[in-house]
Amino acid sequence: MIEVNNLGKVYGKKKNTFTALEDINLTIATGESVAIVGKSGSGKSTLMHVMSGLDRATSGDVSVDGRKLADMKQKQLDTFRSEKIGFIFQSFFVQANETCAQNVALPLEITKMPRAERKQRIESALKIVGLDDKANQKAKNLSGGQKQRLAIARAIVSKPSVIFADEPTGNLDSVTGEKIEDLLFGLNKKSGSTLIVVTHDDDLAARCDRQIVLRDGRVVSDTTSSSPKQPAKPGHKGVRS
Amino acid sequence: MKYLDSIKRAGRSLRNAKGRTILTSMAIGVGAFTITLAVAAGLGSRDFVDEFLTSNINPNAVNVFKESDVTTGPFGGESISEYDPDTAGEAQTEIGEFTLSQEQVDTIAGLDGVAETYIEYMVQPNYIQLEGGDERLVVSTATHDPDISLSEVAGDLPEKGTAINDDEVIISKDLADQLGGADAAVDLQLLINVTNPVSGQSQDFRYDVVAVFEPSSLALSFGEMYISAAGGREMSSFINQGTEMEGRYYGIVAIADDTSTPDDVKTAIQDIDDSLAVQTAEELTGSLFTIVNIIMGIVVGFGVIALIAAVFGIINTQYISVLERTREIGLMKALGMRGRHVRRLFQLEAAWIGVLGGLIGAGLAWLAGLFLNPWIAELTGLDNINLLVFNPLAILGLIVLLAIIAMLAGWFPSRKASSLDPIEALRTE
Repeated sequence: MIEVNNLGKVYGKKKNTFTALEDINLTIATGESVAIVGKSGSGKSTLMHVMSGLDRATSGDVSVDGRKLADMKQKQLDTFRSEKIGFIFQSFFVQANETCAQNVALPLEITKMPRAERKQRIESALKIVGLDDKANQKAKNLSGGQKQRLAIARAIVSKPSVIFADEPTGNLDSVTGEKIEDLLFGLNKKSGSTLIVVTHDDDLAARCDRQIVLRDGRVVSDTTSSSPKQPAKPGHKGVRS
Repeated sequence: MKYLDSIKRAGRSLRNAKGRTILTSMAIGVGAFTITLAVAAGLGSRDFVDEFLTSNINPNAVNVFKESDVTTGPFGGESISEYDPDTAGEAQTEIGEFTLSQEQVDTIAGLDGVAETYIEYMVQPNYIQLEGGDERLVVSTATHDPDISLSEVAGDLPEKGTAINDDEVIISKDLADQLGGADAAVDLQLLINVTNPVSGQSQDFRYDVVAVFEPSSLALSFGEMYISAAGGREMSSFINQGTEMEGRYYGIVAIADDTSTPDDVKTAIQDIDDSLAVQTAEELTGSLFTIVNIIMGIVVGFGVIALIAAVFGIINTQYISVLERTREIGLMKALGMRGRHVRRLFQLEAAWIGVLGGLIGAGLAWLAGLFLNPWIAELTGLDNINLLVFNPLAILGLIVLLAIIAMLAGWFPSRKASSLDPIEALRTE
């Protein structure tokens, strides 16, 4: 579970300040799929950075599974990200000259997982995304869709509790993008990990359990679309009971 | 991140930029090449000097002379010349001050730690003549030193370490050629005519020519003719009888025994008379080592300059690498890699460059040695001696050192890598 309380993020110092986020309050349940929607400059990327421990809040706090990120030292925060968070980016960020297996190995190397266990994990992650036959091929030989699959394998290999996907289909054609979406939501349902998608694609947002819309650093709407149990309460700050 | 994983990842990154990696390594390689060759030449020269020492000089020997300027000695000029009755014997009147007294010789011989002493007789004959020949030559003689390596041209040369017999003499090939040929000279008697300057009397001494020698390539040989110690003694006493040289000697060699060292003997001798010039075998060749060390130092210096240039090359290359891989660094940091580990990754890459450069340089130096050694041997006529000696441990040490230097050079770029903000880095397109 992710809890965000009175979160604010201000860039710059003294007179030249820019408020990226202001008074954000959210609770995201474990296993939920959430879309953070907004135009560019709305603060959605900043919110993702702060929630994932890449960036620190200026005010308020974020806790993930009961642990306050603000209280962590840099080293703890690094460890937290390597163990709890998976990232998927719009431009994949796979290492073109490395093999698929080597790409997927990176998070496990960072967490110092023993070699034998690592191999097993890499194999199963590649199998889940359907790239098990390409384990020893260089990533540069993959198509765009395959590269994003590889990025997904890398994001899930350390079995994180939260996966952040920043415009995961932004660089893909609609057919390939749809397949990637299927994969992401399938994983979300199957593994029970929380999926947070940052996007301005309404179709993708609509496939999530819940849509949080940001404008000028504030939450302007928080709706739960497809969940029959918890109807949305429009206009509310978005704290679900 | 585990150290082994860092090393592997660093190696892979370098393989992905082969051209740049090899070019940067080449700069280190030039330094490594120079230093390896310099060290190899130094080691080779040391071996050579060692070999040279043992083939000429008993390491326990201490040479004692009255004057330090022993190399010019009382005799100068051509070592072999025609006999001219008008100028004969002129040199011998100036030599009194160059000598040791019998008393000093006896004292040195009686010192604790001195096993034995040899007297160096240097006899300047009026002329020498081979039995049945009519050629009269003037040539300086020296007492046969069994420790000098000579090679046999004709006759029977005693083994190294064994002196010739009292009634024997050995002559150089050059001298034998002037006397009618090496093979012809052997087993003939050699007449040595000497004069006593006081009485004006001359006398012939006769010795058997047992062998004709050629100095070996390593020999420190001054003499054209070696007489036995007994022969030297009898001729010297005839020449010096009634002169100020009677009972005086040019120099002696004291051999340190097992309970003592040449340095101890030297100190003891100088305690008797500090005007004596005393040189141990080590000192005699010490100047050779000094020259070798200076030349080696200069060449190593050039190598070090090349390495300094290479260090800037590494810094530059790694800075470019950090810039090129900004997004990769951002990703690694986003995935939770510690800044320390990012820094280590880039330093290890630099270390790999150092190792590669070291291997290239040392490898090329070794190859050069394979070709140069036979060439140098041919040029100098020194057989069986490699002037370039490659010590695997020294090369390994050099490579490790280069890895460390490269790692230090990689510190600046790696610090830049580790301080990158992952958000900014990932935003870079």
